[in-house]
Amino acid sequence: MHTHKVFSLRLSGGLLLTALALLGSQLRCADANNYITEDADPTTIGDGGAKGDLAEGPCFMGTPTTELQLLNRCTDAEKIERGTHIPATTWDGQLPLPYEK
Amino acid sequence: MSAKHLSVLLFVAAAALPGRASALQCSSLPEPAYVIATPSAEPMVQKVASLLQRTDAQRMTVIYQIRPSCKALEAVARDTLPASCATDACIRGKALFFTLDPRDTEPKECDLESTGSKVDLALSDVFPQTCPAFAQTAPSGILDNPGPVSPYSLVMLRSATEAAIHAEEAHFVFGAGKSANIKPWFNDAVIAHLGTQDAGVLLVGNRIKLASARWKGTTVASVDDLVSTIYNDAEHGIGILPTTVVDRRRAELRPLAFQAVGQKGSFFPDRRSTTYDKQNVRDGHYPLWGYLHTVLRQDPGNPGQPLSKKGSRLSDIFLGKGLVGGQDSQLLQVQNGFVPQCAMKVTRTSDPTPLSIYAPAEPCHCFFEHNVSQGGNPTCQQCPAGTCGSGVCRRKYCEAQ
Repeated sequence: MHTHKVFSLRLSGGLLLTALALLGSQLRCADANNYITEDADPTTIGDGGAKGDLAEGPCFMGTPTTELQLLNRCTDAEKIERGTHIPATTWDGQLPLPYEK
Repeated sequence: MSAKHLSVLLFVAAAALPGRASALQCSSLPEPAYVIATPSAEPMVQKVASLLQRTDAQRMTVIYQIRPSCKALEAVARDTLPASCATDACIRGKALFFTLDPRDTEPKECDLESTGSKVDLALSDVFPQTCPAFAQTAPSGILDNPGPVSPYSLVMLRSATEAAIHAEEAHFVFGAGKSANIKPWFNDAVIAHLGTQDAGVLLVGNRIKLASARWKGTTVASVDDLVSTIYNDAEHGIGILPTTVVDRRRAELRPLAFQAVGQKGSFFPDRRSTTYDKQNVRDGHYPLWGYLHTVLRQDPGNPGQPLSKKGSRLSDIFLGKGLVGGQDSQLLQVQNGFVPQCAMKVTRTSDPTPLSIYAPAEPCHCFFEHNVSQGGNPTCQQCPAGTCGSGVCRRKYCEAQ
């Protein structure tokens, strides 16, 4: 009887955690609803290492209200994607840029 | 040609002969108008100067110097003395002008007043507050009119293999140079710019978070000097130039795609590296640009009005209003590499402020695209008869509104 009660409690707790996780993921999806990947419409490949419209990663497809959304709005323009050339010994990508002031 | 025009032609031609050029006083030229302009405006200044000298009904000799934007602003903003030139006001030394002779494809040189010649119009690619001299206190007594958009580009030689640069990389390349060890920009001698009075340095500086006092690399005096400098090391040389200049030299220069802070991927000013449509400037994917400002002295006796009538006429031309030598001045803007505000979909209220969406009252997207790309935009309809099935006929193109 005691074992059954403990099992029920654990089951309820598990279900609650699962529900919370699902709710969280839904909220994140709602936030990202305006982003799509550009893979959907591959066309040409640009020069000089450009990946053209084959570039991966999200782009913003809603009505932009911030500069970041404008910069990342979906586009048919040629886009070049490459990793940074800054060596980790120069900058770790986290600290503020050193020559701003 | 009338006898008067012939005599002026002979005078100017004789005065411009080699060996006598240094003796020619700019003030002796007919209807002189003095202009100091940012390097981005040089192609349009030359075209306008030539038209005003040779074709326009109201002839004018445009006498001009090409200087960094903040120097141009100071020449007008510091000119507060009515009968003389204060320090940093006016222009001195030598200036350029076009003769009446259409066979002269290059401008000639003349000597300005030794005490300084007052400027009718300054052309700058930055707001006055962007200049170090006016960062704390905005200049008074001037009229500042933001005009068409003037994009800038980080450039390498065409033979270089790098195609893009991130804002953070540019921060270190121009802020630390070789010691930052960022491929392929390893040579301080060929990391070139036009100095901290230049709009390119100030506008790019805003976007790469590099304070104007922190710039390293090699400071050069002119666009030609910058190109010569990066030729010294073709694989590593990098500089900053206006696209109005770079687009005319694409055979030798490679504009780099730019990735702003927080942006996913790098973009050229144009839709593709090979086009001239400025699509990414116009829709907000490429933030390295300023407005070409016309700056004039205000009439102290009539606030809000320009002191110089010639300056006022020139300002209208550079703002794309009216005709010059029978040509549409807005078309001249486009043909000389600028983007009229009516072709923009984004705006900003000062140089450092973020981009925001913009809907011009009288858009000219089709007009612009027709004049910068072969064949124009296939979705745009022409309206030679002045009517459109949908939209509004403007400058012979059906615009959406």
